[in-house]
Amino acid sequence: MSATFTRLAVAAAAVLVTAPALAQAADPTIAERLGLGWMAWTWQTAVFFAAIAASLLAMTLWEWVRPGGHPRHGVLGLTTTRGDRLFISLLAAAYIHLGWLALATGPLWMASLIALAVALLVFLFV
Amino acid sequence: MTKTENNRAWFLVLPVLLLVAMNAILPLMTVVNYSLQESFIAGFWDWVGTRHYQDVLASERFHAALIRQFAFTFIILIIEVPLGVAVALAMPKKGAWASLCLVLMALPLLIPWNVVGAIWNIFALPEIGLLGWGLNALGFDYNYTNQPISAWITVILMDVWHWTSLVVLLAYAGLQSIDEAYYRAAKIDGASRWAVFRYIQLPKMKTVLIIAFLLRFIDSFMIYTEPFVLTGGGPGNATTFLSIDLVKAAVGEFNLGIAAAMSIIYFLMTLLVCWLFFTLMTKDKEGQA
Repeated sequence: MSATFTRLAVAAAAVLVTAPALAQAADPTIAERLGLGWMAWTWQTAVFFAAIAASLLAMTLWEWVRPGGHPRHGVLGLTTTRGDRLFISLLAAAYIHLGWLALATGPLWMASLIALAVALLVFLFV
Repeated sequence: MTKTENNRAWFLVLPVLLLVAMNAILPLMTVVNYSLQESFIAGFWDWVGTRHYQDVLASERFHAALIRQFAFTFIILIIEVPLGVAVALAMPKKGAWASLCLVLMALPLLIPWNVVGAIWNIFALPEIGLLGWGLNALGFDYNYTNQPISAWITVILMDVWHWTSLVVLLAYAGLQSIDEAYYRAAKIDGASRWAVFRYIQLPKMKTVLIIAFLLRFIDSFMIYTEPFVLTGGGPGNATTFLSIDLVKAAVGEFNLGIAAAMSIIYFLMTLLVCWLFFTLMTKDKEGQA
């Protein structure tokens, strides 16, 4: 069950994340033709939102396989579920990137690496 | 693996989720898209990456508006929350006077924001307004149209007048929910008025006061209409809060990319504070359970 779930989640995430970029590459006017030209889509932002959608889908599948949200009392002294931990990770990622843009001069992918590390710590200990 | 919830209930909230997607999530995604691009002609966009974010985060104008925004929010919270609690404590608990007080308290909340701004605009004018003319007649040098301090005092007074009622109503509801047995027990113990407030009323009001604090924080942090109608963000930029600055960038200067980046930063700040308050509230409930 666990292996099936993992394969399903990875496949769904991969399809979701790559679909906008592939669609944009196949037809650059796809957003206009879908009536979404007013949203000023780019493949980069489409991939970004697809990644968030993929993480939500993965969380849904995780919840489906292991219901209950796995609540626990973490290092912050809060009782958090998996959804809370994802929210904290995403919010922390946004602030890490903003902080990097404001204070650091290095490439932005370094902030992304820090955000990933923080997300891992949040999922393990918060 | 036991199911503790009926998942069919999710279908009942599906219409709301769709509505939220249409009026909140899609616009938010659009703002993210705008924040990473530059537009010179409507409908044509150039990718600029994170440049707008870097510009906003380094902008002294944004820093100044942010400081003004936090100062305003801090000042109105330290005035409105204690004042609201004090008024709620002073209000009669039952009878016709209680109903009358509740109606009077609700009145400012029923007035549209732009009307509140217009009322205070006229009320505080130094030549013809009752407040402005009265203060000058008493010897105070008051003119909110060209003195930053006067403008700040007027904006704060206006907000306190408009929104303290909300805190009053919430605190009053909290007070009404306290069982009479607590007061009887306190009376038997010979507790002072302060002790009753400190050990009975304040703990029982904690949840509603957190809600009041949260609501007032969010409302004051995104305040736009009232100060815009009253002072237009002036004199100079003295009362240009974040939202006014944002509208100036978006509509006044048609700098959509910068305005979108400001919006996202603004949104993240509000989101963080809301999450902190929500966590505090739910933690409090866990403690009570």
